[in-house]
Amino acid sequence: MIFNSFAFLVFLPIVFLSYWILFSSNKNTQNLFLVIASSIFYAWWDWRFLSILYFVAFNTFYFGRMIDLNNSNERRKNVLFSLSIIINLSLLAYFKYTNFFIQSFIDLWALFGLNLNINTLKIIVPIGISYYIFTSLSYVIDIYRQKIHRCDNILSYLSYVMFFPTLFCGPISRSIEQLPQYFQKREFNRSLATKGMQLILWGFFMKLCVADRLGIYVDTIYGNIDMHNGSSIFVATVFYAFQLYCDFGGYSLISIGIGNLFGIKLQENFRRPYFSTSFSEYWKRNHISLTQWLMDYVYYPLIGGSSSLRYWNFCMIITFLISGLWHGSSWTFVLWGLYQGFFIVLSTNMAKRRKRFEKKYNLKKSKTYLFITIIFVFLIVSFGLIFFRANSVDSAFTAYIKIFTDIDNIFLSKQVMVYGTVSLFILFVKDIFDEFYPDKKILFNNNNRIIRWVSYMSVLIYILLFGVLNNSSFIYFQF
Amino acid sequence: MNRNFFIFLSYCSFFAVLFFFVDFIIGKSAENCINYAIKHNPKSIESEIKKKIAINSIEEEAIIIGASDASHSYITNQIEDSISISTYNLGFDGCFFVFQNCMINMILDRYIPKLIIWEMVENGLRAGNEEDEYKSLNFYYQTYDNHYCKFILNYSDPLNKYKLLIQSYKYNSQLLSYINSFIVPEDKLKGYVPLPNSGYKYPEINYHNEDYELSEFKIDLLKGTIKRCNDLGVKLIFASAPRFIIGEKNTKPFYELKRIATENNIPFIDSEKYEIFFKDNTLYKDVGHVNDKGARQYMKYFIPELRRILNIRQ
Repeated sequence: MIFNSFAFLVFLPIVFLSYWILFSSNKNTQNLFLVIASSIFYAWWDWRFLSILYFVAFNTFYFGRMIDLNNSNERRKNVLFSLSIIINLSLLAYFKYTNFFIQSFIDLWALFGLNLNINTLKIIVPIGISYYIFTSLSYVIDIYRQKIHRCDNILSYLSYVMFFPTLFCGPISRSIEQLPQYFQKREFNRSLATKGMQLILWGFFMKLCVADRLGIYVDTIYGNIDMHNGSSIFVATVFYAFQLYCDFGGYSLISIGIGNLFGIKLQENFRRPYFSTSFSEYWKRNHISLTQWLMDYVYYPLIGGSSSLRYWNFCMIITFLISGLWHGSSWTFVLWGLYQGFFIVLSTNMAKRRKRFEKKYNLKKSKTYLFITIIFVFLIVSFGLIFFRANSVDSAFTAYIKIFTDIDNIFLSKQVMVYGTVSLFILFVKDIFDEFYPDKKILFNNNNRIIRWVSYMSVLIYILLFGVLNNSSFIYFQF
Repeated sequence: MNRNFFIFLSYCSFFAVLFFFVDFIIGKSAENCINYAIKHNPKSIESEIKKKIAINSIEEEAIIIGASDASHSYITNQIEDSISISTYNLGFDGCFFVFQNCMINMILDRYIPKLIIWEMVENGLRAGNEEDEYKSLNFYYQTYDNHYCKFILNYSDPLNKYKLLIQSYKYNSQLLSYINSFIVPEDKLKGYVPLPNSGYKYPEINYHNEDYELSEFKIDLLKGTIKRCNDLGVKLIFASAPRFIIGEKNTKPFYELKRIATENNIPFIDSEKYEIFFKDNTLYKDVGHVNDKGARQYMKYFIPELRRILNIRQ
């Protein structure tokens, strides 16, 4: 069941009303109901894979419990912790990376002229597996580090892992912040629910009016890179940057909004990443839940107590390499991860020099400088996304070469150009106000109820008239 | 029940009621906007308006039905001059078999043309491309009340009967066409859309060796439409415009199409027999479409054959 499907349009009100009317007597009934609803939500895609979801949830619950109970026995604790990490990461590796490794092995031997006859396996990747395994591991790791105590209530824990808005695409929940919410009974909070509805509405706008509309153009160009010139590929690349942000950012807003309807506050996942003025800032604003997860559970443990800048840089590149692999099992994602790692290292290492430069020429308050840096970071990010979007390494390099060598008339798609850019402009104006004038209450948060309602209605009608309403999936489902 | 929850529900319900009211107004306004656009430019080349015109006001004695192959391959004025009956080309980009079937039936609901030339895509009867087929059907949302549209739309998506209660949904992604209709010129070529002869790389010949399963649903639709044309005395001719692809007609759907044509005595003008179309790539814009030069070349073969079928002497 995806958020932009008719089934979900029926599912959500039923679950919402049942939750607050029939199951709101105490935290256990609330959690039980959330687990049932989440199971139905997941089974709607494929009921067979529910068993894997439950397996991950139960094994991490019991490992967490055992680790906490063996806090005084360091050796046993370490064994249990390692076992839990190995089991869950193996599961992730099996489903996501088996074919990638088999194919890479075959390709490697082929380089030496040996043709191995090994068949890749037909493995269906359980949807959301990367998200719920990371969410579950966050619990085990935090217990191991003694940042939290074990959870004794299985229903609370299952609700934390399986909460349906986050199940397919995150935001990846962190036990320290999220889990305690399931330990107490949730009371209906009108302002939180209203905020949730606003987020859902805006999330759908981003997904249906911007992401899916621009996606039509991107798919046309990237579907046949050989046929199109560099100028069109460049436009498609820029569009793809917005498509990706609006697709995943839209999903995250819908997810957070639905969480709010159920009295759960989920983690912010995007904070207008394309207003970043440096590459490191970009990663503090983009896919925040994954970046923080990787920083806390991969990067910082990797650097340990080392004070060597070179080693820090190396760890950062490794972390982003893992981020690339997390996104997908192909060499394009590996290259994308390396690209990100390289630029973030460059950005952090240049930070001091840059500050000195900005101070010397008094650039901090210059709007032109701000604009130039934003565009510069955006272009670096967009260029990296060519690896992310291209169907193969070959076509990614073809795209890079064409962008610089094959400049010609841009392929025009009337509907995409008009509907897409108008929607993009609306998004841009809203993001500018959110970014630079956060105190101004313009539309959704206006004090005047009539203005608020007119803006809700306008966005809703706009989505129906100009959105792409063909139940297209979210890009991040594949990860 | 929590008081706050009750207030929230009341607001949501009130918003829903308000929405249906606003949506109704939007629907009415969009309808008026289309009518105004058609009035302003009754022969618009804008695709969405042209579709509207096709089902509402076209009265030509001969019509050409098809997808982009039809609009780019059949020079309406030449055909009209050669068979001496008024003709209109109703080929629409990306509108495949199911769409065309619906279009023919809606036209037959309104008037009875003498001749229908139906440009058949080689694999029009194939199964497995429903998603592409159904994409173009959103045009028919506005004519959902028509029994044939209702049948097709409900078949393509059983939820349409609920979705189409929302008026704005019916006009999704179409407003631009209506506005554009005020800017674009009148269609002087009667539906023929020539593709440029230069300014791009001519295509290399393609080889096709894939076969497809047959769609029983589409076969039933085709048989139903043939029967309806026969009952109404409409002369039906199938045609297949040139494509720069070898082996595309070596498939089950194409054989079935030929078989149905033979079974129902429907003439089939197949461009495959004209060798020039497999030799000269300058006749094509891309492998699937002839350019204006290619269309003119095709007419040299097509028109005599058409005249022969219609027993028209020099």
